[in-house]
Amino acid sequence: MTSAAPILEIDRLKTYFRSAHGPVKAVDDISLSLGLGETLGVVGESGSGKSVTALTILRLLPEASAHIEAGKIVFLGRDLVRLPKKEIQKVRGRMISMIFQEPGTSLNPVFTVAQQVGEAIKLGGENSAAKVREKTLQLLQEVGIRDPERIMGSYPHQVSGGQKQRVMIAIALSCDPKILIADEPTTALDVTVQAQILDLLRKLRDERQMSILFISHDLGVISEIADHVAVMYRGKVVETGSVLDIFRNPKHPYTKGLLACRPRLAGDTRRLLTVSDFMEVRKNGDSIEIIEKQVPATRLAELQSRGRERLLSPKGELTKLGITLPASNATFVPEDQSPILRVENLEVHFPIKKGVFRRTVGEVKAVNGVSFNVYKGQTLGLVGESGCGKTTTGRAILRLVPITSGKVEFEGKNFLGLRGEELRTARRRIQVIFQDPYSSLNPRLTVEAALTGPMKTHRVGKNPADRRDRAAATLEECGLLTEHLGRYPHEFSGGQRQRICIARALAVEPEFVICDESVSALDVSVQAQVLNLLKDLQDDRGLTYIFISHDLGVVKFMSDMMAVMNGGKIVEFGPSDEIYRNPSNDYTRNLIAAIPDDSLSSIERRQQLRQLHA
Amino acid sequence: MVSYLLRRSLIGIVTLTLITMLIYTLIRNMPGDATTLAMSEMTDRAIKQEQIERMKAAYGLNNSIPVGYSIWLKNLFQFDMGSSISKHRPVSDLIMERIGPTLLLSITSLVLTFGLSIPFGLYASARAGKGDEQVLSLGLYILYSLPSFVAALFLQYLLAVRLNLLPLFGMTSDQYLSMTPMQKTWDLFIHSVMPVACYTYGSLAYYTRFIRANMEEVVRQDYIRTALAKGVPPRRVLIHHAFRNTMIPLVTMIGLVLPSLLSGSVIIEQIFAWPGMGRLFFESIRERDYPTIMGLTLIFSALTLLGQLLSDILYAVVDPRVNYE
Repeated sequence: MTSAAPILEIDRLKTYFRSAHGPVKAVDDISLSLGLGETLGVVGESGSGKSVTALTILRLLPEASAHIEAGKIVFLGRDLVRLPKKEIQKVRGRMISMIFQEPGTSLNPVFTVAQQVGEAIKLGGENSAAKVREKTLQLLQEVGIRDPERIMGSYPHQVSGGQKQRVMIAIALSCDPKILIADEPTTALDVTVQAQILDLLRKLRDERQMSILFISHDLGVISEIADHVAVMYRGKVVETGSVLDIFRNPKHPYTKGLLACRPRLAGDTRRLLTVSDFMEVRKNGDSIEIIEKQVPATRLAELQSRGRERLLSPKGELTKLGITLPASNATFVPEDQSPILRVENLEVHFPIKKGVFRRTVGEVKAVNGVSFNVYKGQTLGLVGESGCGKTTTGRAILRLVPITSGKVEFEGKNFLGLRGEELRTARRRIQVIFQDPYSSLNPRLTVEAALTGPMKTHRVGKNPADRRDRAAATLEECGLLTEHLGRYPHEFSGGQRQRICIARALAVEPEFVICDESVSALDVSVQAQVLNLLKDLQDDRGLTYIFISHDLGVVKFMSDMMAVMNGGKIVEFGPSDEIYRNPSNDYTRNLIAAIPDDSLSSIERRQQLRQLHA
Repeated sequence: MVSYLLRRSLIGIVTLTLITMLIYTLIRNMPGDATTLAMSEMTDRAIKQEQIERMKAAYGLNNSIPVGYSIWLKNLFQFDMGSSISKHRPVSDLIMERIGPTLLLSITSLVLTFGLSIPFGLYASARAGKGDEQVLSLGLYILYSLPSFVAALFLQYLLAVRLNLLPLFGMTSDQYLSMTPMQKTWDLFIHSVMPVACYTYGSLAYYTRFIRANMEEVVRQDYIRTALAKGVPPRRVLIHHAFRNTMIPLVTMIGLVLPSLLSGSVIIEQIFAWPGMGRLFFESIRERDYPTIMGLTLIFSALTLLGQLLSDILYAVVDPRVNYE
């Protein structure tokens, strides 16, 4: 598959973890080959074994729990698996270096940037302090840090996430390695920062003729950088090929599913395909068997027709906001209907306190004058990068953070003035689903307790037996089973847990649900299922959503109306399809341009450019 | 930082006033007072009553609690902690006399504790799961759960009574005053071996386990993986990268040790007849010696507050993420 001579060859590698229930086959008999100067993208979901493969190459897995069962990793004629510890230590950083997913936690918090980059340079054999400093400066410039002098003296917490990842890259480059292993290097970053880091990696790769093993769960990112792609599923490589082959003509059903289930910006379906539309997994004792399924034409038609059209705000309101009415198939809220939620000039400021008596000397304007209307049955998307105020807006509506000024009206009533019984009733009607299904469920409560607790608080259901029945029905509505009621959160997968969180929100029969990054922590294949579920529930129950996410593709798929936020303000508001087709604000345009583009024409163009460089 | 320290000091002064006020109220409300014990042997009721009244007047025990407290506070501002009722000497003199012996125990013990627990803790985390580590950890666990008075009695029986290697109790021998400086040092040394050992082993075990537990937490962090991926040798990763981060919780604990440096140990000083602060405190409570109790309370509370402040400052020193602006 590789055109260039291979620099790293993984041959029938098996990495197992010890566990109480016998070995866990994290990497199960995989073979991969990375060519000189080539970028190999490894894609897969969490638990597919892609990170374990990367860590196995440098033997960075904890010896107490992991071991290499079989296989070879040949690098420049040497088998890294059988190299003595002292020798593998010399390979690390000097010949093969690595960058990680979380730049925030990957740098040591107690040392300055200069110390951490300098240490790597010294390990490469440079001993003169002046030369180390000079090289540090030069590396930081190479990775695109504008004021390297200041950054050198800074501690990690004093620099931004994107800059931290640049520092990590500088450390990785310090000994001119032959191979860079990048393990989800852009996953924790905002999309515009991600685009910059990908640019940087492409530039470095071309200038230094470095090979890159690029690991990601995101096919879009892979399409931006990889020459070849390996798709991993449950510890095995299920498909390899050139990036164009994989995107143009995927062969394995899992690859097809992965490509189809992502909500694309350009997509216009009302529901998403999921991996389970393409394949069925059967357990065969110890191993699994994947059976390919044909997606029937009726299913494809259903994606277009199931559910309602976009429901846009009343024509009068749109015209007043200066928005041209879209011609496409959409329904409008009648002119005489009043909004279910009206937010007016919402401001949330956090005080900065200083001095002996903690006087307030300033404030952080997290939300700085936000206004919008949401109508019954609509979905309003709030999109923006970290720190833009989208989450604080959601929390302020729920009164989870104190509001500095502004109005929040729910069904014409001032929500902020509610007290006691009235507030309790309103709280029942507005529910929230948070981002992380792992930390937002109490680990010591059974699913039944998690669902019936809020019901009891809000006096939903006549008695415990009735509440239990309701909980069971809600679980089934969310795609789980009645028998799950007695289990604890740790017995479920991430996707199932998020379904429990959805069921918990719906158990008290709300009319309005705020989804705060509710699918961001999920794998793409699971994300598609949860997004479909949220849309089905909206249709069945007539719910109104505020859907908050950093992912423009997801927000556009879900929302009727969209608000793009930046710096605590809404910079653009309108029908979501229109904003995508015709963004009027520079910030929105940048945001859209930064999204990885995996259209075949763009991949072809990038590959041609790459040929020119080589 | 300066305004933070100022704010904390102001809060500290308020806290200190409240503590001393509370303690004064408590001891004045205890059953019995200084006269009860002093006059208990007198049999003549009339003379006894007259004596008690005279003594109460002399020591200000007739004052109401608020008046008594404000007199104490007023004298304190003139650097006068009052006179001991039972020992008939200024409280400050008593305390100065007892500080030396207590510091001899506590500082030696502190140096030993940290001098040993850091290498032990690092060794245990480097060798985690191996045989020698498990023996070390088990041994420390046993020490941690062994009460010091049991160990003290056992050591006294073994080393002093049976083997006659060390003196049974006391800080000096009877002939101490006539000794040469060399002999004096040796005499102090052999007297302090057992109390120091009893004073130290518990905290040694505690801190070793503390360091070990924190190291285990730190070595799981992403930046340790980064350091290994850079090619840093494992020993340097452990000491330079991991231990430097374990220092953060450790240093905050060191600040909290400050009050115990002066408070001494009531039990150990009692068993070994060591003339330190712990014993003074014990005696003064038994004798209802209000001025001494108040003086000691004031010192311990002030040191506790200072120790906390010191912890916070050290915290900011070792952790660059913390600042008090």
